[in-house]
Amino acid sequence: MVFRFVGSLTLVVVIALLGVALETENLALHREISRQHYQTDILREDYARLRLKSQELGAPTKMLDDLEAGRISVRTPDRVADDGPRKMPLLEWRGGVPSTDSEPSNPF
Amino acid sequence: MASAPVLPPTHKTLIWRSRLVFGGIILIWLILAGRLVQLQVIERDELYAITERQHTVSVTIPARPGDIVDRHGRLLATTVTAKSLFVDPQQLTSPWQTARQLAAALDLDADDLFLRFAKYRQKRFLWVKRRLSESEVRAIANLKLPKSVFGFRDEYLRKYPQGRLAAHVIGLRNIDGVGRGGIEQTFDGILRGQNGTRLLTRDAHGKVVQVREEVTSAPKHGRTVVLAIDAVIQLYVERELDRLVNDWSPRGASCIVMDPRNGELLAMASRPGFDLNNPRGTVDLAWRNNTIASMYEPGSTLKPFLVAAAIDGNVLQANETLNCEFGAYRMGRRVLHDHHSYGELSVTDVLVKSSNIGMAKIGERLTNAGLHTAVLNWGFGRKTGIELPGEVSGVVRPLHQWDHYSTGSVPMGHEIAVTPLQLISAHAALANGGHLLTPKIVLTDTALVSNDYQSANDRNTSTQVASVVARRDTTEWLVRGPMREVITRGTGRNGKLDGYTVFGKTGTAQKPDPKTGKISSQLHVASFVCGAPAEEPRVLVLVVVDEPSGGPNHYGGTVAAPSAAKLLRQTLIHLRVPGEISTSRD
Repeated sequence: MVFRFVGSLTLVVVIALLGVALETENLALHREISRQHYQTDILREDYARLRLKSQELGAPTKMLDDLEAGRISVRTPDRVADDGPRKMPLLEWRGGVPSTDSEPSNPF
Repeated sequence: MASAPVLPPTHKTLIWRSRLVFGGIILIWLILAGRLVQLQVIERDELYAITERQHTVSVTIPARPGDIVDRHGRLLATTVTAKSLFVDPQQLTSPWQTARQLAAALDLDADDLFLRFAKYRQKRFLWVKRRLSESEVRAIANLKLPKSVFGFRDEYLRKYPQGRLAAHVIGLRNIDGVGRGGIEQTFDGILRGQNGTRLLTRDAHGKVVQVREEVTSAPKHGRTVVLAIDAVIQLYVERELDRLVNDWSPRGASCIVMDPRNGELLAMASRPGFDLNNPRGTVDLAWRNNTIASMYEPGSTLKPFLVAAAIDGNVLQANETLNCEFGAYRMGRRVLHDHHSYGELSVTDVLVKSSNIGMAKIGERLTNAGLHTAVLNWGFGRKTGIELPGEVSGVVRPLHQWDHYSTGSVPMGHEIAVTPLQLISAHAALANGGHLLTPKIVLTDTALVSNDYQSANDRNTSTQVASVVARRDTTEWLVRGPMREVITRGTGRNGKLDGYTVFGKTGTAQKPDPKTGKISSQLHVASFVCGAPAEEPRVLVLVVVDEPSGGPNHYGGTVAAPSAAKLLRQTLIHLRVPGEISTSRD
């Protein structure tokens, strides 16, 4: 009788402790998700600011006049990081008429 | 004196008293139970709602507005976070002193700020200035005001890294983040995204004790819109319009660059313009996008469409000649004149020399009904359907309002009004073999641009409608023949380019004088549309200059043609369209 009573009591306590542990884990995961959301927001904001800054620095409105006037020197890199097709065309500041045999397809 | 003895209560009394106490306890318990039932069952929902209202607060998580980029992914509009300053007016101990300090730090009017503090003295929240710059935030921090007096809130700030570029196309977002004008307005729904919400539980002191995850919804940030315009070509156009405004001091000017093969707009600009990052002080006229919201009589730029209609309608042969009456032709009580005296002219020469009399004779063959049908057929008198707000339909009066004057006036581009976008769309149909396409300002195939962000264009652009408005052989003859010769030996000689076969048409229309209401000989709209290569047109450019002043004359060939030709050349080179003559290897 005592054995059964102690056994059932132990079972109830174990289940209760398990429930508390699961709840704790659940809350910890909630906190982690909230932190990740917060970090994602910070990263998104940083990405937006850096992208804005880089686009402002390289904007055609800022560079085209200097390129056309030759105030900015253009250097070709020694090694091409990505030899796939260019997604964004380079500024054609020299203004020569492309010949039919220079580049048959649109490079962008 | 002996006191009366206290008699013990009788048994009956004891029973009565105990029953009374017991009954009282039962009654109290019944009252408590009843009250519990009332609170827990009967008034449960109402009380629960009151509790929720007192303890729970809903906080909006704002969605970050999406970006606007050009066809190559260059950023035209984006969003960053900025701090907005508020004060608690009830906590202000010396409002005038605070107003003076804040006004000095934020470049505001101290008197005005003090009046606002006084007006909202009983409030707990008052915006001072929203979306501060970083230097302004530092200036506020240096004031070392009591923390109970002020605070900052993060808000999204729209930034336009290209400045004035494509201002009319992009539009603006107002202080509350709502799109106003341009793409910002048309695509406001997908650019703005959807705000999220977060429910917080607060204690009696107002402190947050719980973030209720089960009822929190994440914001859906705005998506990226990819435009068809190319920022470099747009910059070419903006610079050229600025130069035009400087040289000719017009009332307004506009320019469109289009790919006639698919109707995509590579550039669209209007003058006067405004600075997207600093729109304050913009004159009223500058808010209007002249390319879609202003209309004018197209003048001679309309003539090729009516010639095409006459040839397709079998009332005119491409190789026949017309008697241009040596410069004077009577139509009823009206005498039409040409700029120069011409005798017999071929149809090609009627267009090359822009003979009004030759066109009037073509108009007589088409009749008013045929002219009206042709004008409507080429898309005039109705909106093009571009994804920009504020487009107007132009003016094509109902046929029953046309008279014998119309027979002579319409063929020379009078009595109807068109927008620059309608005109270049119709010329694109000439250039592409007779297909009138809905002009597109946003790209449908965004995979061409980049795959590092999700674009909403594919699901949110309007369907492009294409209708056949002329026979291919007719349009090819017009583009490679008369319109090519307009450039080589006609009114558009200023549009000639080395290395490319250019075709085009000049237009000069007189405007009514607003003071007299009559057609003025001083006020003109000069326009020029050109494209290249004539064999397989890749680019079309239209320049319209409203009321140019100064200079020897205000003809389209003089005012607009040099700019249009320069833009055509720059665009062709930028797009690496091979020319006829190879002059360099890039």
